[in-house]
Amino acid sequence: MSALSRTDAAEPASYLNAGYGLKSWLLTLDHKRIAWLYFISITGFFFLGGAAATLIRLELLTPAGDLLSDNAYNQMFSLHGIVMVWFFLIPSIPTTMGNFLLPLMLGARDMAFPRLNLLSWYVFILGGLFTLTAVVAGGIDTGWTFYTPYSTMFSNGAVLAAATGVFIVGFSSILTGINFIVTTHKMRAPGLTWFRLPLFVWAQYATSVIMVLATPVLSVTLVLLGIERAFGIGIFDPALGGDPVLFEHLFWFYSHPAVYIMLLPAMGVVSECIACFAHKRIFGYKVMAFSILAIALFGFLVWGHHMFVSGQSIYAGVAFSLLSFLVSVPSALKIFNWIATLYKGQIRFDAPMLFALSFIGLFLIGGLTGIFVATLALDVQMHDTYFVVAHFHYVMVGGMVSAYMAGLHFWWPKITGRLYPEMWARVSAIIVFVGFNLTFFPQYILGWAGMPRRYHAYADEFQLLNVFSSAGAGLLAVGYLLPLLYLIWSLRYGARASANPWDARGLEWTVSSPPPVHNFARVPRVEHEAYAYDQPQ
Amino acid sequence: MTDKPQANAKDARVRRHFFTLYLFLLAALAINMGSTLLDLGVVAVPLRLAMAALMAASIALIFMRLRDSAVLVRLVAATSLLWVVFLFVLSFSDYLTR
Amino acid sequence: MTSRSNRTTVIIAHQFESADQQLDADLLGMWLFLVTELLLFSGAFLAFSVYYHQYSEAFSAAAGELHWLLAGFNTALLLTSGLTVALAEQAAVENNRRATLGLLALTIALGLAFLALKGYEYHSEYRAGLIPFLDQPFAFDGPDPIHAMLFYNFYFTLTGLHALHMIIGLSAMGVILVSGYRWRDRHRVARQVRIAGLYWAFVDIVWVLVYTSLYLVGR
Repeated sequence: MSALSRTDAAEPASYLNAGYGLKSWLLTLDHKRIAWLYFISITGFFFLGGAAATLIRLELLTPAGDLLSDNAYNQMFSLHGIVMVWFFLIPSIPTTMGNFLLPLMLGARDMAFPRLNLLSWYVFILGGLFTLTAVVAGGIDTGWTFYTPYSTMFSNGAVLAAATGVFIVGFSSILTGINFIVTTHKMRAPGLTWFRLPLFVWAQYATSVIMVLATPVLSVTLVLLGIERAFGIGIFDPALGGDPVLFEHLFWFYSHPAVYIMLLPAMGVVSECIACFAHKRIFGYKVMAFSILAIALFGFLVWGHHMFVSGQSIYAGVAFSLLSFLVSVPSALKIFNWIATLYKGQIRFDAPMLFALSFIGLFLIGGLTGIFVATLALDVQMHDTYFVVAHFHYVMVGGMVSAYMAGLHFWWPKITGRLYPEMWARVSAIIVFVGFNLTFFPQYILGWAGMPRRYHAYADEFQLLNVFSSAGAGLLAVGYLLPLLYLIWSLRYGARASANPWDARGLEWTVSSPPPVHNFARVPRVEHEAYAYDQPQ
Repeated sequence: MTDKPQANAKDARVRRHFFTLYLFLLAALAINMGSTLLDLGVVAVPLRLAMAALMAASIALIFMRLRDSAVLVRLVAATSLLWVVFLFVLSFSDYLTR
Repeated sequence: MTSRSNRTTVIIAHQFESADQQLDADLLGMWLFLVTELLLFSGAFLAFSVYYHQYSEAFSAAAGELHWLLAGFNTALLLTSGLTVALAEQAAVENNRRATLGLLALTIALGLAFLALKGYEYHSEYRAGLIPFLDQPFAFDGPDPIHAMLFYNFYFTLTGLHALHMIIGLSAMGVILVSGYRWRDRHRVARQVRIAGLYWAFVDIVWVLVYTSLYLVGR
């Protein structure tokens, strides 16, 4: 009651004004506040990783290694990779929008395990600080992959500490995954059957399954690596008959599915945005749901395509190459269905839609070039060139980060109760799209021409395209800094949002913006699927 | 009132299963250890591993009550085994064909 | 309905609708956690199997030096503790305070005995010069000592990882023993013993696999 009396009439009671002290945030068990804790932390990591990327692109303006020494350059791309992969991309959508929206979309008052949810954030921060200290102070130069024997026997950096940090963060992923799976199974509102769930929930669910099944294998791999490095005993050490390729098998058993940890939630976000801004039922709902599960499954069967030139058996290589093509089937189905959803829709080009449409285009290019590099014979030429760099940036940045921005704008009114400035958001979406293509399309050409990755200097004939790429990176930086400014601005000065500003469907839009502490005054009874755009909300 | 003795009968049955399983586990352990004293040739390794798998499976089914658990829980357990198979089969697809 | 489903003393967390929903959620969560544990050990077992496949002679010779009888006795101890914890679970369901607490204490005692024997085993291996680290020369005198060393690295890694899990399980049961002593909320105690029992049975399973593959397979 005391919390209620403190609020004025213009501001109805919500999870945001339920308490103001630092303690009310740091010890909260409310999934919506925990989502904020993650928002703030991963935004910090994103801009740190982005700063490293900026230095990399500045160095690559000229063929000579003039800005950074070779060593500093190695440390910079390791910092960029480690921070972006483990501290931004993996946690990004699940821990922020997933945490915020999953109980709302399920009609639940909270996650199944709220304490575990808060614990996972503390574990994340602990692991993050550990790794960050090791990477910055200890000078990690192994890349984000920690390949042995370099990482265990030769690198001078604080590999052990960095690996420990990543190991700790793994627990955060596992806890989040367990929480999401149990919540989805056990906390659905009456009437909310599996085929009435929003595709966002399906995507979070499949992602959680991957987190639970893949992360422990990374953990044990890092334990083995740590034992080898700490005690100086051989596990992967060739001198003892150990096999560094075994490290790669174990590492990629996690790290390939990890790509889908990044991508599947993005696909969930895009499905929500496309359906809302085309104001139409999503086309082929069941195909969409099952293709999410299929991608999660197939993602586990293809890891060997990272190891075509590692000394892996040629027969295994052929098998992994063929299995890799399987992933393209459900991915393509999703793209066709998004396009079919747009067909004859009442399309509105608000900022979330612009970001979602850029996701489709960029993911399409990234996915198709993925088929190039999954082809055994072609990959021998492409491996370790900028072609690969361009490919995975199209999927992870062009795809995943675009979807993250789409979701952030789409649910911003729900999360904050404020509208963002639409014009600036559209400008940002367009700048990001142009800047992204200018940065990474030249890298396809560079890789095709044979420019190897991970060097601070390069041959003169590659300079022109590298200048384009660096210019694009500058544009991209502007495109990402703009939302940081106008979103913070909107927290105070944005117009107040109604409960459902987009005329969207789904349980999260039935509660006020921002939602009350326990989400639903009464547990809702669900009678429609999530995309009932033919019916009034 | 009529429910209570029934429930006790069920409890007694559960307890009896636990003891039966325990005796089986000790016997299986003894067989596995005893097998190292014999020269079994090529069947030795598969035999011991199969015995261990049997022990593990029966602990899961009875001590962990998987037999009486919800379908969903059994599905979770089965999925984990499938993923262990993925890990082993695909990794050995490399090592057995080098 | 039987007296068992009397819910007057049940306290449920705010996010749940019923005690059954809470128990179901807890069990599912625990099983999912055990899935991650299984995959964690699988990674280490995979590495071991790959090397066993490549260097089976050296690995067999190295396995021959382990105290297989002592470890076999230890296995029996651990299987017994598996029984006692399962019985403790059942006793908690039947609201039998004395039996629950007694069986939990017995389980902990058996677990500690296992760890003590395991410690003795490590000590004698250290004395025999079979620990390939701690700056000690590796004194294995069988054929192919290089690959035997690889075996011992895995032996210490796998058994060490298992021992760590035992310590976690023992601590959890210790906490339940203390917090459940007053028997305030028997449903809560029953739920906790059930969860801890699942974990302990899993530790049993892992040990059966560790014992078989390290001590017996190569013998």
